[in-house]
Amino acid sequence: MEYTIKRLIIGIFIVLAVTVILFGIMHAMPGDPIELLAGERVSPERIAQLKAQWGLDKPMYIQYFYWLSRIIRGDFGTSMVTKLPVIELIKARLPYTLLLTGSALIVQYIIAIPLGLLAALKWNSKIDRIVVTLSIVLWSMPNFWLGVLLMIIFGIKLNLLPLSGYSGLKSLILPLLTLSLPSLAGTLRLTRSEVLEVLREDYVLTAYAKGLPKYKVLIKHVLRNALIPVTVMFFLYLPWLIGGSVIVETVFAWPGMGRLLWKSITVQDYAVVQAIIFIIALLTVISNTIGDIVSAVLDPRIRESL
Amino acid sequence: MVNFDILRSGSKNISFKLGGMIFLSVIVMAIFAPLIAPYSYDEMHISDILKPPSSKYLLGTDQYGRDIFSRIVYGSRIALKVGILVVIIETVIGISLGLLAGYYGGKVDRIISFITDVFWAMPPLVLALAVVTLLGPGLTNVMIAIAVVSWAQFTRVVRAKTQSLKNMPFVEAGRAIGESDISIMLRYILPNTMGAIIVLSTLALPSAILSTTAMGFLGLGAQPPTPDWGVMLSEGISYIGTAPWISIFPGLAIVYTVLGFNLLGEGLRDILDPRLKV
Amino acid sequence: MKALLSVKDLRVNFYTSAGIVKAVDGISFEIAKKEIFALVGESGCGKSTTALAIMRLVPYPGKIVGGKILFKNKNLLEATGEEMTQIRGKEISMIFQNPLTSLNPVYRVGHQVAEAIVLDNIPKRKAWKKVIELFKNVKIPDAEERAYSYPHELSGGMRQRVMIGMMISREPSLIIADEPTTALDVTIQAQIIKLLSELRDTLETSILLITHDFGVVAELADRIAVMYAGKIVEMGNVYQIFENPLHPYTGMLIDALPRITKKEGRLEEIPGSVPNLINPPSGCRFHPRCPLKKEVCSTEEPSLVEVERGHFVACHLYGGGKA
Repeated sequence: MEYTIKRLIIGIFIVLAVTVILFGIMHAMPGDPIELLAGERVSPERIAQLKAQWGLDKPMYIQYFYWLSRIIRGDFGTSMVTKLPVIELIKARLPYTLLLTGSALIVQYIIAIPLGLLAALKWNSKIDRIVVTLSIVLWSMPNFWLGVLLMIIFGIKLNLLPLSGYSGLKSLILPLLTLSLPSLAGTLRLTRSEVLEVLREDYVLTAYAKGLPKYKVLIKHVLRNALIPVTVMFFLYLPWLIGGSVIVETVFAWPGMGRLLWKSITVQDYAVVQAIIFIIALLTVISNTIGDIVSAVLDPRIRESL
Repeated sequence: MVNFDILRSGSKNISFKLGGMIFLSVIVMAIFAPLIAPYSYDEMHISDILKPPSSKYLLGTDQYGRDIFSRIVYGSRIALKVGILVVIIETVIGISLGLLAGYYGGKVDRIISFITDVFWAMPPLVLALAVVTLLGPGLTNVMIAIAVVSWAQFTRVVRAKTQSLKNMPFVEAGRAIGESDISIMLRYILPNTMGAIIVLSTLALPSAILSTTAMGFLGLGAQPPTPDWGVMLSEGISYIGTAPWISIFPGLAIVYTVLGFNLLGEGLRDILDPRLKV
Repeated sequence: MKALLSVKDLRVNFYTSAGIVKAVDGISFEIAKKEIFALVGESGCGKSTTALAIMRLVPYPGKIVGGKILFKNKNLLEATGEEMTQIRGKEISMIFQNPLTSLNPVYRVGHQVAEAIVLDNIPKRKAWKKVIELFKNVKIPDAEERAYSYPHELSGGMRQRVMIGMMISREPSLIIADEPTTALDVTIQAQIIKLLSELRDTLETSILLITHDFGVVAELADRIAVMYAGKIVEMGNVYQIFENPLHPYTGMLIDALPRITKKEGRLEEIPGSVPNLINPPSGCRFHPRCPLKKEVCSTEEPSLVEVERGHFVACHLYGGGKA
C-alpha cells in the first residue's frame, strides 16, 4: 500500500516533467499559436488583445500554469486545420487506437508465452532453435512492410479481408497482426530467457529435493517466478505499441489517434500534435506505474525497496 | 581489444558468422553501388514503367520506370550512412551520461537516471515524431531525432558497468597516482565497458535503420527521389494491386540488412558479454 | 553392517564444449542406518555431483554414465521419474549450500515447508501446525510469526534452519547435507552442526555430509571418505582418519586445519591446484601435488585397498599398485 502511494506520487512528478517539456517544445515551435490562429488580416492591436486574453503577455512560468490548468480541464485548444476542438478529434479516435493496441498486446502474449516456454523447456533442441530464429526474423521486420505484405496476400490476392479503413471487426485482423507479430519476438525471448534463468536457480533444485512432482515444480516455482518480469512488461509494452500504431494505422488507414498524429504532423497542426503526444506520454506513465505496482504485488522483495 | 580467442569462438557461432556475412555483403553493396547497379537510381525509363521483374530489370520498375534493383543497391548507402551516424550520436550521448551517472553517483546519478528512465519508457517513435515536428522533416533532422530518443539503453548499461568498476583496485590505483576524474573515466573505466558498447552499438544500428526507414515511409524523412528504402516502399503503396514488387523488394532489403545486423549483434553478445541483457 | 545406501562404481560425466569432464570416476561407498558419513574434498572434486547423482538431479550437461546406487536394495539409477518423485523428500532429502538462494523468494517460508508436508496427504491446516512444530524443533524463535516471513526477511542461519525443517518434514531416512554451514558465520555454523547431530539422534536418520571443511567433519562424522579429482583416495572411520591418516592428501588436509580453533580449516592452504578433469594427470591424480611421490605414481594408478579393518587407501605408499 505504502509502495503504491509512493509510486503514484512519482508518476505524478513524471507527468509534470513531461508537461514542462511539452510546453517548452510548443514554445520552440515556429509561429505563435495566436498569430497562426488569427491569420494575417488581424490588426496588431487585436493580436495584443488576444495575447492578453490568453495570458501570452505574462512571464513564461505563469503562461505554463495557465496552459497546465487548461489541459487539466481537457482543453487542448483548437485544431488549425479542422477548426474543431482538439479534444473532440482525439475523443473520436482514441477508442480505435486502444482497441487496436490492446488486442495486439493480448494476441502478442497469447502467441509469445507458450512459444517462449516451449523453447526454454526444449532448450538447445531443434524446436528451440526454430523458435529463436523465427523470433529474430520477426524482430527484424519493419511493420510497414509486413502490413503491405499482409495487404497484398490477404486483401488483394486472396481477397479475404478488407484492405483498409474500419468496417467492423474483420478490419481489425490485418492491422492487429502487423502490430503484434514483430513485437511478439520481444515477449517470446523474455519468456524464454527468464524461464531458462529460473530453471538454473537453487530453489528449483530445492523444490525437486522435497519431493514435488515435475509439473508442480514447473508451475509453482519456475513459471510463477519467471513470469513476473513478463507480466510487468505487458504494461510497459502498451506505450510502445501505441508508438507502432502510428505506422500501422497509417498503412491501413485505421481511424485512430496514431494516424491523426501523422496527418497533423504533415499539415503542421501543432495543437493536435502536442495534445496527442501529451496523451501518449500520460498513458505511458500510467502503464509504467501500473507495471511497477503489479511487480511489487508479485514479488515481495520489491515491496521493500524504493 | 580483439584477441584470437574471440575470433575462434566467433567462427563457431552460427549467428555471428551468418550475420557477419550479411553485414559484409551490405557494405560491399554500398561501396561498389555504381558497379553493381545496372542503372543510376534516378534514371527514368519512360517506356518501361511498372514493369515486373525481368532480365532487363531484375526487380522490376516503378511508376517512373526507374529500376528497383539499382535503387535498392544505392539505397544501402543511405541505410548504412544513417545507421552509423545515428549510432555514433547515440553512443556519445549515452556513454557520457552513463559514465557521469555511474562515476559520480549521488545527485548527478539521480538526475541522469530520472531523465534516462523517462526517455526509456516513452515510445521512441512518438518522441522522434515530436522532435521531427519541432525540427521539420528531412533525413538529417530524422537522424538527429532518432539519436536523441534512443541513447537511454547505452546510459543504463554504461552506468551499471561504471558503478561496478569504479571501486576496482586498478581504478583506485589511478586515483592514487593523481589522475583526474575525466582521465579515470576515459582511460580506466571506458575501455572495460567496450565489450558491452560494441554489442549495444551493433544492435542499435538495425533499430536505427528501422526507425529512419519508418520515418521515410511516413514521408517525414528522406525525400524523393532519394532511394531511401522506406520512401520507395511508401511510393509503391498506391500500386500494390498492380505492381506489388515496388513495395515488396525495398522491404526485403530492409529485412535482410536488419536481420544481418541483429544476428551479428546477437553473436557478438554471446561471444563478448553473454550476461548482457538487451 | 546393513547398508541403507550403497553406491557402487558411480560414474558421472559432464559433456562440455571443451571436452568430457569425468566429474565422478568410479566411486563406491556405503552408508549405514543412523550413520553420518562425510564426503570430503576441495571444490570441484566431484562430491556435490555425487550428492546430486543420488537424488538423480545432476544438471545439464552432466550425465550418470555408470554404476549403481542401491537405496534400501533398490537401484535408483533404474527408477522411473515417477518413482524418484516418490523417493525425493520422503526417503532421501537434501540441504543445499546456500540458504540465500535455495528458498523461493516469492513464497512465505512456512508455505514452502507446508508444500512438502501436504504431499503426504495431510490437510493444509494440519500441515501448517506441523510447520510450526518443525520450526520449533529446528529452534527458530517465534516460530508462529516466522512461518509468515518471506525468505529475504530472515537471516542466513534462520533460512538454513528453515531448509533443514523442510528437509526433515517428511521424515526421510537419509538426508544429504551439501556444505550446510559454508555460507554461514562461524557462530551460526556451530549451532547448525549441533542441530544436525541432535536430529540424527532424535529422528534416527542417516546423513551424507558433503563438505570441504575437516573441522565440521571432526564434529559430526562417523565415517569419512576423502575425494580427490573424482575418485575416493581414502576412507575410514573418524578415528582412523584423524589419528592415522594414510594418504598424503588426507594428511595435508588435516594439517591445514588451524590447530587452536579447529573450525576454520580451509583447503585453499594446500599448495598446487585441483587438476583439470578433462585431461587428468596420468597415474595417481594427486602426484603433481604430492610431496612423497615415487616414480610409479606418474605412470600407474593406485587402487583402493583395505590396509586395516574398514580403512581404505589408494596410494602406492601402501601397495596400492597391485590391482
